[in-house]
Amino acid sequence: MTALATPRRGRLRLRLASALPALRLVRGVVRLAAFVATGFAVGIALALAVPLAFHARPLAVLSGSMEPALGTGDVSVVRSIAPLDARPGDIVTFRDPNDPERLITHRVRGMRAQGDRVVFVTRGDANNVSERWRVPATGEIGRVMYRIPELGWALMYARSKGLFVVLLAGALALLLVLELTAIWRKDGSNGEPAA
Amino acid sequence: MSSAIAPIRTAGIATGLALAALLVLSFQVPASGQSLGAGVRMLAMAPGEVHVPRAGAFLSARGLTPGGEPARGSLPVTNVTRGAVDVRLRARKGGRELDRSLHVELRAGGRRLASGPLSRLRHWSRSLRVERGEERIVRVRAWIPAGTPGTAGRRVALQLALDAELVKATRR
Repeated sequence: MTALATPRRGRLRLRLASALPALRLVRGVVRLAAFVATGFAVGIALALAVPLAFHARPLAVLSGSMEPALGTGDVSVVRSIAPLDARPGDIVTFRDPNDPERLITHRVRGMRAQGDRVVFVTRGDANNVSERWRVPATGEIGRVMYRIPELGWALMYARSKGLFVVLLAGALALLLVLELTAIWRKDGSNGEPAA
Repeated sequence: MSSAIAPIRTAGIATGLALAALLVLSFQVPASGQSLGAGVRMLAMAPGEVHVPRAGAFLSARGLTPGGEPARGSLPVTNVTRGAVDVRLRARKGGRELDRSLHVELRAGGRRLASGPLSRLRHWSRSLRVERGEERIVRVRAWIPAGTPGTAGRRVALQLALDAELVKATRR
């Protein structure tokens, strides 16, 4: 039995040895893709987190009233500005005059200073009705700086299911990746011919 | 092994970060380049002795900025009496938000009737003689001097009231 097994193992080793450059190439490509994905995820996380230090915050877009400038499910990063720093044409975020708990992001169609207040006329690009609201000149509104398409779905999901579930799933996924990497490395070192 | 991975890791993470930066840059929402100037609108209201066009404002501007181009308008005033009249003008109504910052000049036939901050035009201007059947053009210029603060987004709608007094004929 041992005499038969030995030539088979030898053939297998020879095959593996001949396939090694291709395997290494595939492994290299997969690693590169994993690092690119990691870098991209870190970059997006930074794009969401860094503005927090500069009076800005990310908000998920919940409706299509600003299509096509802002799509449903996008994340808009909104910076706090003084009302008189806004200009007609800017996309601004403000509290709904009828429901202060709700935030609206629409485009400024007109604005004027009136005493110590600033009166805005705004409208969603996809809407046909404008809204008129006022804010103290010393107050704050938000101006959209940039958007990250589709990421809002993840934020909305995280909010609806509770961030804990997402973090737990993320931690489990990370653990799984680490374990698989360790197994892969072990296999790779066994397969490599001794120097 | 780690030394073999290091260049791939560096290149991969750098590429990923660059892609993220590219995504953010390409989905930037640029701030509007429009300027927010002050606005002024002037309508005329005349007594029975003179006639002025009633349709709409004779001066209307929305983009007045400190040190910027003045807004211009002209108001034809026609004497409809059988004698000469002296016409005076003054600003009425409208918010007083630009009273100090908006400057207004009224001229007719090369003569200055009033000039200065809008608050000064709240009083009667110098009078303008309009002969029987004659039409005189009152040219209005409104501007905000350079360096004037707090005018952005302010608007006033004024009524330029005219007062006409018949000139008594002198007998020889």
